[in-house]
Amino acid sequence: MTLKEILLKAEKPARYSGGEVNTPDMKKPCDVRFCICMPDLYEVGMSNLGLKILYHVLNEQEGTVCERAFAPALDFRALLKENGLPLMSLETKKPLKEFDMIGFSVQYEMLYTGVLYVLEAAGIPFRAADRSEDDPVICGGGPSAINPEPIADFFDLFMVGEGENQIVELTELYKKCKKQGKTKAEFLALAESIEGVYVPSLNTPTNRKTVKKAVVRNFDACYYPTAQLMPTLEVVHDRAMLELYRGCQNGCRFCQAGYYYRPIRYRSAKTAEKLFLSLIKETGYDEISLGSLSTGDYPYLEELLAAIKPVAAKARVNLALPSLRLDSFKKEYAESSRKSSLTFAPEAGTQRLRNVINKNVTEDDIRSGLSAAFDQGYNSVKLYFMMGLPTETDEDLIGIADLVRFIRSLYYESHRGAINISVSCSVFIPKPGTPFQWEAQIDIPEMRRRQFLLKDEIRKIKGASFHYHDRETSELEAIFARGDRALSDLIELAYKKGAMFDSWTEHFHYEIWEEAMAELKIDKQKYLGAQPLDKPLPWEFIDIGVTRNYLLKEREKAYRAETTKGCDKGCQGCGAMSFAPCDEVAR
Amino acid sequence: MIVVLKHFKQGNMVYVSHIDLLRHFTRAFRRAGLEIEFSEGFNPHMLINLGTPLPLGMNSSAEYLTVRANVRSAEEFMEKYNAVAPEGLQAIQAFAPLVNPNLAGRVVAADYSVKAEGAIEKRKEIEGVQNLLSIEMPVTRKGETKIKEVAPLVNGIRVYPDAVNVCLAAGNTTLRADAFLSFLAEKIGFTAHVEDLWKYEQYVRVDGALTPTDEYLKKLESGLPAKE
Repeated sequence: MTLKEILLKAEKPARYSGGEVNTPDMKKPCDVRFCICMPDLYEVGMSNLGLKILYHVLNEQEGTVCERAFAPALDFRALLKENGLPLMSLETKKPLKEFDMIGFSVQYEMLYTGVLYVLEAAGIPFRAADRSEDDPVICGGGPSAINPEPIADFFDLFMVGEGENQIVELTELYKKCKKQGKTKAEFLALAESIEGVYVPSLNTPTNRKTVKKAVVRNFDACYYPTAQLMPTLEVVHDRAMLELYRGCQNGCRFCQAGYYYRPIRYRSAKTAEKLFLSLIKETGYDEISLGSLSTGDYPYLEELLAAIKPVAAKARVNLALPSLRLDSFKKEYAESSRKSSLTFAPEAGTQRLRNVINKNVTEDDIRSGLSAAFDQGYNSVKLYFMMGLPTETDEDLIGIADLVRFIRSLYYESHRGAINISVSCSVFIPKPGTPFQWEAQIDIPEMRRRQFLLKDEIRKIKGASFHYHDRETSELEAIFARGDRALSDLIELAYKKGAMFDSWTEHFHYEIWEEAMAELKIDKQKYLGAQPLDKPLPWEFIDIGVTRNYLLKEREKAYRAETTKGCDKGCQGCGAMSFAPCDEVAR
Repeated sequence: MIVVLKHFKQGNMVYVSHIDLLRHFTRAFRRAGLEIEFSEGFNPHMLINLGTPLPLGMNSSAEYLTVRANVRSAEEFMEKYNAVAPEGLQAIQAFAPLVNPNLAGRVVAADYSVKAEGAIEKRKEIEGVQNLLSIEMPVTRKGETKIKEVAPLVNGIRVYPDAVNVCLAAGNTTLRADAFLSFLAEKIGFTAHVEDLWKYEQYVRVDGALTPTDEYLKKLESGLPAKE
């Protein structure tokens, strides 16, 4: 069968065909061919901003070509197998095996088996130790690089931190080494000196160097793609994304991104406006999202909105403002957007617990934020919570239901008709790099008890619906999040037993993982229980800037239900400033 | 003004589905800075009318879309569009009909061409099929195979040294060219590369006669009324 015949047999062939608008020149002379790979479906991978930034920045470089590959859906994987074909890149249909380097963007823990799935489809051995000189250099990056240990055996190197400058340095080094005829091992030894690069084979758990995450220093001047790749089929986040800033001033104690992406670096309103205009012109999207970890806290938001709203209206482009906090929600933000549904994340049901996690949202904030929204015409609210947080009691859970009742009565104070309140509750997962990295996760029977307790409470409220996360997925995610190198064996064994696409409920089978854990005599409690404060954690060789002392101090404050003010109210001395200047301090 | 754009669908773009094609055009028009009329209401969207969906994988040099746009001429529209459109969806021609051509409702047939081997030797037999009063073809839909009478849907067959061209019903009643050509190739015994089909002409019915769409659109540019 020709490739075309195979593609036409696949469900949604556009996932694999390439040819997107804004694809860079793939035929230019090049010394390094890089394939950026998301171990997830096209629709998910193409929604990722990091992928777009790295893809375009590499293709901007002279002598570098970057292509893409995604995890093939099961039907296409079977078609490839039947026809004896390996996984190929989208752009030039080159087998992945023939690339110089492959960069996996590992967005979160449940994609670990996806990495093996892609490697197998590409015909590349799983373990770095089993790969030859001819195999591509396998690089890993994305948020999961904050604790690379569970997948360390599969990678030649990790890119920890922000990739846009680092990936260019790395590919330039590769070109130099290739020209000089250096071996892969020689290249890896040299790569280690690049900021944020971690080479697992040169470091053992007992003898290792500290790796400092890579940080972009002059964020306002830093590269940002505006002629972004335009997906050929509908993807999960089908809109252009304008990144307003990195870092977050709020310091919610469970939030990995809030600590990992420090220090705070803003894009100036002028630069943001310029990028916005280019995005309209070069993508043609009907929606542009002003993204960041907390968009309402962007200090130049009003200035920016005043400048871009008329342009957006004229071009009939919808503005999306995700990640708004209740305390920063203002009328004018919602005015131009479609009034469909509002999403807020109070995270906990009582003020006490919100203080513990340092989610500085009060009932007054909720009242004023939501009143404003209701007056704007919104009648549908989505609320995100977490359960199993440190110090949580049943009272806190019932507090969630009370909050929903409060919101409902707030709506009926001045409005009629139906209101929809959708409550989503995930399970707390202790994540590296946060003040809660030492905390225990509640066990599955306890998750079940708390979920049903809350479910019964919410059921009594008219117009409210309740969704909760899968318990077993949450447990596995926690195991991986705080895992060590012993877990590479577990991931490989579980994959061989059939575990893949674990982030999809219909493909997730916890029995496989439990069986594999039993076979390898891995005790999950080691990863799920509280971790000792006096011993280094498996990921602590990675220096994210925020100091251990600061995290410990925050942890103590959490247990006293004491909040920490946001960075905008004064520097709290987290330590991230030693990596790059913090714009919040400069302001 | 009303603009009808005649465009290709080829190369990588043959894998783009009908609904995604619509998205492509809205984005291309915005990139081009073209002012398109929008619908009113809660979810305003560009007023674009696409023709009948082309099956995935089929190439075409005769796709048409209709928009209402604020431009000086159809040529200007096409020039601006082509500057931002991918190669596989480039426009070939633009028309400025004085009335809405309602192509989706009027299309009745289309010409297709397929590369073929061993057909010229059986030319008589193959071309003879168009004169048969009855052609019973098995059609599989949702896993169920039924015998369907397709003779009224076959308008013509021509055999060339390396290709077979067919004119088949399209529009409200469609006979899929890939299915019909596979059937024909198997029945008579020649090779047809149906994975590489081209649609190259599309007809509307005017005064009872099959009229090429371009001709019909040209007439509408001078405002001549056209009967169905």
